[in-house]
Amino acid sequence: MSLLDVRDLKTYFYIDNEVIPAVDGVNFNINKGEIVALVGESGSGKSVTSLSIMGLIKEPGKIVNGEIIFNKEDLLSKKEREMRRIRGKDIAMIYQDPMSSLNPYIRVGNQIAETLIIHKKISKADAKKEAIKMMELVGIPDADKRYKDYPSQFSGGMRQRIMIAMAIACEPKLLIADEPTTALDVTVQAEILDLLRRLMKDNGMSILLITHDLGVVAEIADRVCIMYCGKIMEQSSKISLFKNPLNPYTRGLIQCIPRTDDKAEVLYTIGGNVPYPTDFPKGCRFSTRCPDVMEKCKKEIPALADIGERHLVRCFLYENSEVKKYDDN
Amino acid sequence: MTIIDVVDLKKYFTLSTPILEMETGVVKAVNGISFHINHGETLGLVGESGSGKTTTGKLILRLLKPTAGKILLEGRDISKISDREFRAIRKDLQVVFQNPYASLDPKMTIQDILTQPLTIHKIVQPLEYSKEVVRLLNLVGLSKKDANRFPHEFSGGQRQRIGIARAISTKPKFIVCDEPVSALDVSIQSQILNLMMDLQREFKLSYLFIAHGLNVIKHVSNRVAVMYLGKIVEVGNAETIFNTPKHPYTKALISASPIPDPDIKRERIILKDEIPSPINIPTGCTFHTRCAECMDICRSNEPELQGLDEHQIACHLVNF
Repeated sequence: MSLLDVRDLKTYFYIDNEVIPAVDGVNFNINKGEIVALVGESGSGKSVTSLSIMGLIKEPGKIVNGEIIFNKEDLLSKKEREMRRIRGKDIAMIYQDPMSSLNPYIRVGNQIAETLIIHKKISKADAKKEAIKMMELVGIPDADKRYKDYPSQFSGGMRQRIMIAMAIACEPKLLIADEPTTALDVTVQAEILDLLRRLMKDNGMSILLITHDLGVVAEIADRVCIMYCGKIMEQSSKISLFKNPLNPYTRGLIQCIPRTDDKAEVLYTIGGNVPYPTDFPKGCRFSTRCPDVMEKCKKEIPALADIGERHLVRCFLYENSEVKKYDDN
Repeated sequence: MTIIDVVDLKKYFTLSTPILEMETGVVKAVNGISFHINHGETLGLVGESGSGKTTTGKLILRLLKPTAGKILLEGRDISKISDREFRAIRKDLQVVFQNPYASLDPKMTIQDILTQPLTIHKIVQPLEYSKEVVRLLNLVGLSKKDANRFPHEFSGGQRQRIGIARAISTKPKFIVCDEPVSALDVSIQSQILNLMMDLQREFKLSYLFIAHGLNVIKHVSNRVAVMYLGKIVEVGNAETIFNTPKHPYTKALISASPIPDPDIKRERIILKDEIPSPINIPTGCTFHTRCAECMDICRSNEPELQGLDEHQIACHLVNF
């Protein structure tokens, strides 16, 4: 059953009389107990998508179209007051840099307890007990002693654990993890990924994982959406995506990563740069860098089409396969 | 033939409280390392944050003064000579930094940024400056019209290309590459790595390539050194290190590095805790606090780096 359903989401930014289509017609859903990865390079709109779900888009940005159905309710029709009750309780978020998302002047334990006091309306003493339990759950040794420490007294990996403890304190149904391991060492990254996987299993939580690292995706995700310039280019199960990548962009992304388990002399490259959002090409967003570009690609944007077994791809190369169309732009 | 020889290099930083004017501790950032880099090869330096990789790079470039030890550039000890003498050698050693946004002066045009080293080191005649700038830009895949633009007009990947052009402008022999692709997107990463390897072949450059991404290190390096808490725990040919790692720390690092292929199932070695603070370095083997195969001897005796040149390991488990 679908926990979150994002339908035709468009989040535009209006800067200097120009329109920046950061998220331009995005569709995807997350089922209960599932990890969906949103993969893309900088400027692909993956973080704006997550902020849209959280209701955190501020001027000059605006959600101009779409629906975000969470738990059968449309989040976009909710008032700010109602959103505040959902945010932190039913949907929680962890960020890339744990140091700048923790308050350096407040003891970490109190920061975790604060969420509990606000959302669960429990006493300070109970919140403290609960917060210590959460710190133990995420693997912080001597949690009752470290409750009183400040963020600066923790290492990067431990700070990310504190962030996770804070996020899961109210047992959210959905956890949005925006590049949760990018700032961490590989050994610590492996531990944090294990922790997320365990929490998902034990608490039946769903995770929206935002990352640019396909290695992390291969480790942990169930399904994957590949984003490029505000649009989803390909969407499928993890296995199907890595076995049979269809969109030339996805193929390029997988091929251009150096791997520890083989030795290619020259790395595959995707030529050029990500276009600026103010001058996206008229046709397919990837047409300026695509190795398989055709005349048609420069004029029209292909639709995201299902080519079987819920493997969706946005590309004219697969136009003649048996398809079921999902949207028309 | 070696270009760089590092012998028992140490760098300690003393911590002090300014009010009491007292020494409160010593950070042993680099704690007695020895290695060499051959002409035209890339030595990859890996390790977690806090292991001393960047300090090692800075010491070789003489941006930091070593506490003890020798740094030989083609047989000549550059750690002992005067600043005046060193100025003539400066151009042979260059650096590419991690953050292409912070390492270019925002108020200078690309023309100015690239002309500065040419002027200082008298690489070409003043009349040739603009021609040389265009040549450098072309080498790194940029064009003539980019010369009059400012750094903010470029994307991260293009800025890193400018950083590379600046590094090769003095015709160096050796470049320290300190995490040159960590801040870049994956599709741009491969462009920059290919560019650096092309330039290496063309100009017979030697690299010390510092990175925490093992996949990147494996791709670019001929030899690899693994650092942990200011020590080299394993060093050798890249293939050997990645195929048959001997040190438990190297094994853990390799097993933790994600491979973008869901079919590959590996046994993951999870290290307990995190890298200890370099102020309180554990006794004996510095890795014993996190090692799954820790023995009694590891707590008291520090293992020496032993073995043949192709593969050296500092671990009591390995017998020679």
